[in-house]
Amino acid sequence: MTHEIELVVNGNQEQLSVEPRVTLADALRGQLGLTGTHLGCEQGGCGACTVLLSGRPVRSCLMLAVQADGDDIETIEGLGRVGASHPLQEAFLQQRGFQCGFCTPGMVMTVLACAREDRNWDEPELREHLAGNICRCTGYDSIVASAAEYLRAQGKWTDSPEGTS
Amino acid sequence: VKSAAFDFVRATSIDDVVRLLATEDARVIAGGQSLLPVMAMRLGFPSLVVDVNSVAAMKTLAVEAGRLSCGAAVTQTAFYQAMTEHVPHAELFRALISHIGHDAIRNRGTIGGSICHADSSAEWPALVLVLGAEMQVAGPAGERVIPAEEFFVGPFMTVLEPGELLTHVHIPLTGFTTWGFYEVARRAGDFALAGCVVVADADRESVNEARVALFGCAGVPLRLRELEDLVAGRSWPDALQAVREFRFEHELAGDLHASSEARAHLARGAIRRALTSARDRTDQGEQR
Repeated sequence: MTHEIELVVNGNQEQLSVEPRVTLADALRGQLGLTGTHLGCEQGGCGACTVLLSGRPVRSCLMLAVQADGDDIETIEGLGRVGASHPLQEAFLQQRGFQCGFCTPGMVMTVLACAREDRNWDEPELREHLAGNICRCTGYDSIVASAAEYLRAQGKWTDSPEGTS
Repeated sequence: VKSAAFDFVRATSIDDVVRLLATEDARVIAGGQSLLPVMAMRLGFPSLVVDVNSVAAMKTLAVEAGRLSCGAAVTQTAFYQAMTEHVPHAELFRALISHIGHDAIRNRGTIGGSICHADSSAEWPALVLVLGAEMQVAGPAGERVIPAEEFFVGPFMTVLEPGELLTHVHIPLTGFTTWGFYEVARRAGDFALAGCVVVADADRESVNEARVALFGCAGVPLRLRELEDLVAGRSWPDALQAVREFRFEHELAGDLHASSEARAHLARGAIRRALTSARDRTDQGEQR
């Protein structure tokens, strides 16, 4: 049996008809065409599908679309566009924070949520926080550098004593 | 990895949930952080999934008369944020929760879900065991209360009967003055290879009484009563020596990640570190 749901995605009111077994990730990609949210493992392990639910990061593969009825979702498409990138996307560009780009939307959404928290981050804290997002290309240094650049610009960064990033 | 088809209902009261759980093969979903992978990998095929996130009575969190009563559908993040300095031993809960998965998992995953999923490498089952918490359960025959000690019966198995729902967890906050927590995992947020949570009545010099639980070491969380007897009434150096020499009564789990012997080594290390941090905490005026 399908369910009629309403949710706000990147500020747009959306109405969807979904089978209960459809995940939020599949609804975003398949029904709304928002394929920037990537599906890696589909079992919560990789973090590529991370989106923001009421401003907090969640795995969109571990949430049913029907559970998101009435919720506010932000995806990578809500940030910027080619030629008008978001400062966080710009930081990833400047610091070469990606290679194949598969994990990037999840990384960006995760760091975006970090920057909205009322606290500062240092490198060990950021690295531990990003442990939920797997990258198979970069070795993480450039991702951490990208995130640090953005967080610093937002006044949310504390340099570690060694000043490693 | 896509789930088989199922029906879905968003319940709004405990009675609602219990009524719906009478359906054959019905399952409760809260955060879904364990259930959805199980379903996606087709290890589980519920015919009906009952969402409890809109059951207000299961979202409550109250500290009263030395105990903490937590609705089963409270998320890890909500619980963590409620652990302010006004809550006795708040830092114990914060330390433990920060080891559960990752931020994105904790934003959805719930206390009750973690306890009912009963993964033996999970943190909450060991914590409720060591603190002597009680599980408040609703079912077709009415309510019952189950001590944590009787709740976990095997890997991913609890004493809950089909049709029963964990509604609240009641956690005593008294009977100990210090605590320690240590977890060994290959990556922050990964499943524990071995972990230990300790609560103790102790001062800077010695342990009066300690309760010790392990997770990630067997099919269920383990309470180490034999070791507790060995450390009770001992000075800290003697208590830590007793851990070094401790031989586990049963062989610990061996798997791809650690042989039984390796796990026993990691477990002893985790216990020692948890106890050491409990000792160090007595210096910091943690006692209440």
